[in-house]
Amino acid sequence: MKRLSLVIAFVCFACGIAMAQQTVTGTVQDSRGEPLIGASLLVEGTTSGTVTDIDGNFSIAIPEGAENLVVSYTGFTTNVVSIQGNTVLDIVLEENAAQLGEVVVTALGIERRRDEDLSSATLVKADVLQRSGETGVVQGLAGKTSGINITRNSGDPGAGAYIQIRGQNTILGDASPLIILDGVPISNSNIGGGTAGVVQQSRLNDINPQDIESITVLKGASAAAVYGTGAANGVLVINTKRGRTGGKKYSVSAGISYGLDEVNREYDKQDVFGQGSPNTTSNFDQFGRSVRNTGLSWGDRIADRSGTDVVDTDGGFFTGDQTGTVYYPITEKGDRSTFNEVNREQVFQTGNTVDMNVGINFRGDNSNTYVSFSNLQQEGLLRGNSDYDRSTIRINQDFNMTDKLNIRVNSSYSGVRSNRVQTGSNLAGLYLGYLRTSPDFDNTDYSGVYTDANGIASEGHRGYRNYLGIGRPAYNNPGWTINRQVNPSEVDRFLVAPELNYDILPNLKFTARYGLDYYTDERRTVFPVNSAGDYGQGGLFRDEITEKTQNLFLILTGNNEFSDAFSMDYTVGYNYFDNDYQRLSGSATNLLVPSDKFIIENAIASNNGSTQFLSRNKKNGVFGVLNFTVIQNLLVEVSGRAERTAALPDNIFFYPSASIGYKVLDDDTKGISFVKLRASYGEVGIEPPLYRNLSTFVPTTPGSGGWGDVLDGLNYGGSYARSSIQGNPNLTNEIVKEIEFGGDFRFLQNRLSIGLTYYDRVTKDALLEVETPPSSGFSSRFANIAEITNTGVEFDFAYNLITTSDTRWRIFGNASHNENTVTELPDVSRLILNGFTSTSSALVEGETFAAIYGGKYAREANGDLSLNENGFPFNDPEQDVIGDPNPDWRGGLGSEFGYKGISLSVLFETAQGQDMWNGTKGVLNYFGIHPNTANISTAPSDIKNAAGATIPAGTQFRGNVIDFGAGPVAADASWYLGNGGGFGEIDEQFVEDASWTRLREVTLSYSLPLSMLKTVGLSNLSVGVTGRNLVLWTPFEGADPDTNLTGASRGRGLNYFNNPGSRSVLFNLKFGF
Amino acid sequence: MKNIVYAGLISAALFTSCESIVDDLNLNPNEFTEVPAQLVFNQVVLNTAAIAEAEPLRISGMWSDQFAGTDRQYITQDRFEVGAATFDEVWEDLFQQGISQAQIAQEQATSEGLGVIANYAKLLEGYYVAEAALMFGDVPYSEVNKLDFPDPTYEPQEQVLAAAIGLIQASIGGQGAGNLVSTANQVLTTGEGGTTWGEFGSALLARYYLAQSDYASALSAAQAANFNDMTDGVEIIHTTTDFAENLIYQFEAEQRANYLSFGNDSTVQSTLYNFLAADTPMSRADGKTDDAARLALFSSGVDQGIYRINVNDDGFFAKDANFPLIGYPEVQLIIAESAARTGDEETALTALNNARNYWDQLTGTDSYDDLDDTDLSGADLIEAILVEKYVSVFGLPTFYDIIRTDNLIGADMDTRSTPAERFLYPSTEISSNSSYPGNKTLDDPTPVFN
Repeated sequence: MKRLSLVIAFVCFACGIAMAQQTVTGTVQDSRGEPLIGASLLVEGTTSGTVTDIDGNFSIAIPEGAENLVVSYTGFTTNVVSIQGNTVLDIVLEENAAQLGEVVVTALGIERRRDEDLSSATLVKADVLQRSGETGVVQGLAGKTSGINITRNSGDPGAGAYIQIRGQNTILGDASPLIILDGVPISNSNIGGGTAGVVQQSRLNDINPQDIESITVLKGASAAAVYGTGAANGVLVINTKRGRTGGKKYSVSAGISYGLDEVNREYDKQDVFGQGSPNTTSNFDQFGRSVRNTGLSWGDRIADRSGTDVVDTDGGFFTGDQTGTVYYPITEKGDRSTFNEVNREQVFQTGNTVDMNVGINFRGDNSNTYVSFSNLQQEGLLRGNSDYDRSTIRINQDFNMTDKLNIRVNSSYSGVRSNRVQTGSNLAGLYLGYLRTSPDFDNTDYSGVYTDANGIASEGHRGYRNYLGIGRPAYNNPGWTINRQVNPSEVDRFLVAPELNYDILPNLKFTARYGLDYYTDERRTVFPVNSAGDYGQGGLFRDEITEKTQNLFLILTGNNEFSDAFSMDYTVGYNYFDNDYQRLSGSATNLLVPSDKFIIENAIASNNGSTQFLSRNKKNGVFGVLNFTVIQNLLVEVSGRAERTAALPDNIFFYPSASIGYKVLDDDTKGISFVKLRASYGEVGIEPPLYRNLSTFVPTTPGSGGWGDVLDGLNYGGSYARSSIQGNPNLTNEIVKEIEFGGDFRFLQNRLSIGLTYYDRVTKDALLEVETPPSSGFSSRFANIAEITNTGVEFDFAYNLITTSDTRWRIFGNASHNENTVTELPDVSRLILNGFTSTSSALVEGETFAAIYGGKYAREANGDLSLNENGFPFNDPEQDVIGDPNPDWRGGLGSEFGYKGISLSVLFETAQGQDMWNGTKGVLNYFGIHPNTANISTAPSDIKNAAGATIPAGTQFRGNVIDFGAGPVAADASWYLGNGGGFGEIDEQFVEDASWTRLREVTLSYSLPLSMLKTVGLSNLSVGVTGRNLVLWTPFEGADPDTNLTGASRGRGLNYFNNPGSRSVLFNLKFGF
Repeated sequence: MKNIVYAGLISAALFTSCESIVDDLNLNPNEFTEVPAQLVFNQVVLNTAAIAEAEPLRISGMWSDQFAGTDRQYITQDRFEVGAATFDEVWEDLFQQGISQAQIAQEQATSEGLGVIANYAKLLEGYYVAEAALMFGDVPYSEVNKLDFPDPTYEPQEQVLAAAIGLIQASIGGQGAGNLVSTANQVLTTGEGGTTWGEFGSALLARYYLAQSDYASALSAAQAANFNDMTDGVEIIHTTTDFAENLIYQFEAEQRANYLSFGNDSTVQSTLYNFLAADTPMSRADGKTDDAARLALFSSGVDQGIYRINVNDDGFFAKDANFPLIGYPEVQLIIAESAARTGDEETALTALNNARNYWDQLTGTDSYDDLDDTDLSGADLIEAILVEKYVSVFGLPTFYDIIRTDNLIGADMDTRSTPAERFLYPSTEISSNSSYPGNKTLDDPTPVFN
């Protein structure tokens, strides 16, 4: 409505209709005296009108006989002011609480009143986002709106998160939503995401959350259709703060916060039995034998030991660097000490975060400026080399060159320095070495010098698999992982987005917008000599990643009013997209000089390597949006985009959308205050990835890649094979079609608002790398053959319980249910997305997307476990779906309470009905670390163990008595080392319910009253404390299930020695003047 | 309304005029669409290590009880508790990385006029095909790597093996068969005696005839291989350079310590260990046989509670120890067994003694006195030959012997009473091949061995 009047005002102005007999001037302000820029004034009953300027001033010619001015402004109550006899008017508009905040930003960056929007978009404002104090923008969204699923990759500093809007729609295309920052798409790369390595940062974390004004979540296809390809996973429209257009000439706001992080959930470890091997064929009551350097903790009972180690001081010995302790070969283990707590302390600490930011607003005569600086330093909850340091500068500048020409430039720089820690399925990873360490081994001395019997000394790495530090252990000592191995990364990112707006006609505006997003990400990895795994003789790795994304938008927006009852807004535009990605990697292994210094030439030529990956993608499209308003209540929008992409240069794809909405009721005085019903249909697409059109030849490394023993063809004159992936020149776009119905309702004089949306989306021609029989000469090929559906319901509500001048209390919440199903997956029985051979996240026709897939129990026809002659279950030779990582529903419930300067907000979030593979637990069973494996049981009768040996009745043995269906059996080491443990073939037993509910945020803050501040020259001052993730309820054992081994990839629901999650407390101080 | 039309026209003009923006970008800058035949041939040669020296060797070694699985997944694999997915990589190495690339190399080499390389690739195609048939039974062959057959059908094992033998025979009579195996590649080497590609082919034929219990053909092929000198044989070169090291070394010393060994201390040792150790009930030590040096070559003794594989510098599996794709002892023992079974015990004994003396030459000892017909004859001779092969040749050839002879030497089959008859078909074929013939179990015999 406002826009309509604005347009009318412009039209009148431009046409220069000069019938005026009288001119009225004045200002329009809010109740605090701040000028309102662009407020619309319309002479009632005419088409004469104007808008206020940058200082809130206006001047309007009043035709003869006119009586009233209609003054309106988004978010404020429309006022009708009498002109009678006045030539100067100072008009004050009151904020309309119901409308305030009820704004969304469309895909093209245009603000629109929620009441007039036909999509299910929701906008989350800055204060709500920032309350969480998360280092990343997206993490702060968690629990705050329906339809969005945010999963952290881990608790590592600056770690990324997986963002999913309405489920997964594509298999090969981008897994994340499109991110539009100030009208321009930016990169949201999460490079990395295998089962090992480090948890990399998310590029979205480069943005300073304090710079953000709002994030609008566009969930539906219709709202995103103008972006065509790239928008299939929804869109996050992020707007940053702009310079103020009214009020004081300058203002400064600043804040500092200090946060403390600690691990929120850990695995328990047994401390009853020591390192060693079990007795599985006889002598069960002696439990096990103490054995040095074995990976297992199935040894002797620690309490049964003599008390002192017997050592051999005649030969070699190890001197630890950390404590100076001298370790001799142990000839008989006698020490009864246990070190679980000491070893824990070696690894974990209370992490801390210091975040400082300052924002300056400056208002010039014809310009507005917003400048901000921020610095965030995070010391991780892991000791050693785990940190994150981000500095940002942002300058957002608006120039009004003339009445018609406005230029704005948004620019920012982010510099991020970070140290990462190796994680996951990785011999040099942290959790793997830490959790497997035997309870009777002290990890404190991780490096030192081994002196052999001849007195010859050499550097060594001591761990529980190498207690004398001769060379290196099979797994890293965690102390080595966090202190000696370094994985620094350095990101420099520039975002520049100049924009030109020119009013060609009062009702026709031209916008040219260019966006450049350029970053370099330099990652290094140092495996010092004696690290476990592949690089025992040292390894240096360096990746240089640069990505340049450019966008150009040329947009015409305008409107026409055909009659009082029918008006039309239109947008027509052109978009050019250009993405250039390069990754150059260099490495040196088997270092000549045994130094940690990063000199990449430090190896012989054959151990020096380099690789590169290049990709250049362009798209070019035209789009249009038409909005019709019929008799104010019926709203219609149609939009479309025609597009050419580099992957399919010969085809033009068209993505249409149409929405219709009807405002049944809009009267804020009534009990039922507002009712709008809406329906929409939209199509978006996903282009095939580049370079999938032809089969290629690739360098090979034959051997057993899965285990890591391979021969590099480069050492043998070079070897190439035709790739196992068959190219396909006939690929086409994937099309996501969505139909959406919804309603927006407000009750009780707008105090209670409810939004409800149902959607049904289907991805046709979903492209995948489909498995083919290796006997065909290819192991997979690209084909557009799958179909994926997402159907769901989203519900949001907010209720203003109390709104008085002193007291505010609002509760709000949301819930979403999404069913993400792979409805068609022809030609194959499953497609592995990510994970291990044993357990993976896979697609199976008829099952949920990314289902957990792996080995299961062999079963009889009636569903009972098939048992072998010893009474133990065994594995089915074929794998199958064993879990669903997608929640049945997610929700958030929050409360915001304020009394004068005090405010308290609380947010609970929940995700229910999802599974996760607890691979860590399975492996801890295997190693004899899990407390269940330390139980001492008594054989109720002569019972068999998994090795077929008989444990005589009454014998006490280490393990558990279990009845799988054929009477009691002894689940002792022979069971856990076989199919009862994590390395067996029955992965099904380690899939656990990973539902969770958490106190996502709780914030208490106090703003000092203005009266106290004036004397010190401040305009505001508040102090607050926020708790994040303080309480977690989950049946999942040992870890916060809000994590994913394979990062932000499509593979979901796997936990295997993931670095742990965190809970935090933050204190903050904010002030302004 | 006019404005819309103008705007639309301007946008359309931009859109169409910028058509060329998106052209010619979908050309892969990271990978080649064609490479010289030589480089594909290198893959065909090098990939033999993935079959002979990597996972198939380890699984067949555990299932023959030459080795024991003593850690993680290898504990379950050793107990035959395997799933179809266990064999995905082996199958891919045979069919996609092996046979298909061998066919591509032949086609390309022929078109490049490199007849010699094409002929060697044919021989190796025969190797991959034969090994695939012996490991898995009925397997696809004639429809492999044919674009018209996305779901290759499975053909009878004997027929596939015959096709493989045909390929090898053709290669023996083909271009360049008289050149040493080190010709045209940097993967294979041979000793001073020198083995040619043709002799290599004959040696492989001997292995495959033996597997079919065609002893007469096996004998003549093994003799045609002309492995008269102890340095005869075909070896995969290993050096100390990263990822050129011996694969057993890489597996044990770098990647998966303790997984593969000769058994747990004080509980169960592998049969191979029990044969070679002097103090076990199965020990074959006697006045003419002292296996101590050989055992020390294979195993570095007990550490961390297990009998370790010797990956030290002096070990059989040292970092830079070449691996025999087919070696002198195997060919001698094929001669020995085939001769013994065809009634020529004199030849059999000579060959057996040759094979035993090979180890003396390798370890610089004099541990083996020649056996004669007073020591062994008849069934005892055959068993002694098989035992000698069992403690000489690691992996697949020995596994084939165990299946073929129904474990005549009495190796400990751990949780089974009879040998596993085959490898399981992989999950990749189950999942994606509409011609998949249905699951087989480890108990289902294959025709060739029965």
